[in-house]
Amino acid sequence: MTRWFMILFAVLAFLSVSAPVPKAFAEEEPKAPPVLKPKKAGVESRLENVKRLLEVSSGADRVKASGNADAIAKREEAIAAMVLAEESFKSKDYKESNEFLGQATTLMFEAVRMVGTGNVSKEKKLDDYNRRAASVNILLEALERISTEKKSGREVETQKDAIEAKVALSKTLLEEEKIEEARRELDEAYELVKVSIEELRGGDTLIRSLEFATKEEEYDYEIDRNDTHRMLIDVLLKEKRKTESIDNMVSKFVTQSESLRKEAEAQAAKGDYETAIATLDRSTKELVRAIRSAGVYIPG
Amino acid sequence: MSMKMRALRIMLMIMLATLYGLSGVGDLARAEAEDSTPQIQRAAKVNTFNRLLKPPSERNLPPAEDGIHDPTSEGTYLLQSPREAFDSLPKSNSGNRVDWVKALEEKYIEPRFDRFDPEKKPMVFDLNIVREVKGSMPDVVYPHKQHTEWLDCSNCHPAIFIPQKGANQISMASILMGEMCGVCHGKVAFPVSECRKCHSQNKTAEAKN
Ligand code: HEC
Ligand code: HEC
Ligand code: HEC
Repeated sequence: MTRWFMILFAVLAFLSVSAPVPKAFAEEEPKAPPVLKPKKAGVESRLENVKRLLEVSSGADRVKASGNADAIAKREEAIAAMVLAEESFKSKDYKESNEFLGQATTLMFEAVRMVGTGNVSKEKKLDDYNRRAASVNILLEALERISTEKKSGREVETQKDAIEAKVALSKTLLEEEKIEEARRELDEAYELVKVSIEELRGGDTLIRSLEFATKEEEYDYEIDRNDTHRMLIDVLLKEKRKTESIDNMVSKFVTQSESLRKEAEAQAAKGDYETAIATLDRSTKELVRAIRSAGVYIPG
Repeated sequence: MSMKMRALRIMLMIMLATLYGLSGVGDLARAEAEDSTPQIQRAAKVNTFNRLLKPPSERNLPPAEDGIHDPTSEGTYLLQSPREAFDSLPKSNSGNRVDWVKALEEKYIEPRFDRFDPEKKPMVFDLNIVREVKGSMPDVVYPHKQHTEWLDCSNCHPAIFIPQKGANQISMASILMGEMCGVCHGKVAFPVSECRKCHSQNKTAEAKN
């Protein structure tokens, strides 16, 4: 219930902004979306739903019980828009009816927002604080590492000091149970560490190369690769295998693959990883064939 | 703003809200407080893995039938059906059939970055991490840029990834099981079936085995 309410609140918060219309919609471009043509059945069910929103939803209850005159007045406005929607519906102007329904919904959400969403629990605030602190700490570590790597010098040192000072202040505030202030300092530290990292790393491409220290390690990788493709058969071919001919073909390749895998495992058990790797590769190729034979083209 | 855009914004906001702020992360935070269960396990409960790999008849169902929204809540019926809402957005071949990266880039949509602050813009961070893959399979390019247009650093660091090149053990199998990249891909971002979106860097001829 609270969860739904919070989502409702997010919607509210969203509705209250009238952000600029995106270019693609503002100008006459071939891509412009077709105008929505509401159908009778759709509007009818929406009428019912909006009516419930205004009359019996938890939001409606809260507004009614709030004693907040502004919120109650907003709800009255919403009801007025709803009445207009009903009239338009009766005169078969579904487009207009739909527009009034939109207005009614917006107004009602505004009313609900006026009475608030209740208090966020202290426990949640603390959880959120701790999660944010974990991010700040790990990003600060990354910043330190990168700045050493890049020998970035004084400027980054100064930034780091400023961030650390904010983190320390935030901790003190938290100990004093000033959680809001603590969070504000922490958020500032977070923004700073993001910007510092961006300044150092923005535009970079890092390559994590694949290197195997031993043949055994490479064998383990091949086992993973084999497992991956086996899993892909389940994930990608579930629908296709409902066709018997496809299923038969896939099964044939899978069986071949399985026997090669057993062979590879036996070779590895004897310590012959080199041969085992080659055998596993053949096993995986059978699985790739199975997938492609069902008409799903995967690279590799 | 047109009604349609508005409805679309609501849809999007709800998607993002459910995912990042309101329900999911709240649960995650609680899970973390109660015990040390990895957050990822809780995330899997909220968004069934591979739900983006559905046959056409089950794709983009109306909110009341999608198994995500509460069908007994009146609010659910106020939401526009995704089939209708997505109609004018750039298409993709998978998931909910929308190319969300393109939709954002070309300003078909302009979601808020912050729930409460309409002015706040994301800090877009252009750092690519290339992870080499054996054989002729193209290498994986992980782009921070596209991610930070949607997400905040704290969505991934440290809950999903340690921010250090190579510090995370990532395998395709783990992704397929809904971990690592699979915390999102297959649930709320394009699914694993789109190999080439991740495996986007072809090998040079001599690198192939
Ligand atoms: C969608 C998830 C995601 C988001 C959001 C994200 N990152 Fe990352 N980040 C990663 C992954 C994946 C890696 C690579 C880890 C690896 O190779 O093991 C990484 C690596 C890094 C690194 C390591 C670079 C190095 O020097 O080794 C830094 C620093 C970093 N991220 C900072 C940030 C910052 C700052 C933000 C927000 C502006 C951010 N990340 C947002 C997923 C993410
Ligand atoms: C916290 C959620 C999250 C995680 C974790 C995550 N992604 Fe994403 N990713 C997204 C979202 C959201 C988008 C944009 C929407 C979409 O494309 O579906 C995206 C987009 C992308 C794109 C851009 C595709 C394009 O069209 O340009 C690539 C590539 C990608 N992700 C790869 C990865 C890889 C590789 C990993 C793991 C190392 C990963 N992602 C982890 C959420 C995530
Ligand atoms: C969301 C991004 C993403 C998508 C989509 C994706 N991969 Fe991957 N894949 C990765 C990452 C990350 C790795 C790990 C690379 C490494 O070793 O660091 C990986 C590794 C692999 C490997 C290497 C061995 C292994 O099993 O770990 C194979 C093979 C592979 N992927 C195949 C595929 C195929 C086939 C598809 C499409 C059906 C696919 N991948 C789709 C991100 C992705």
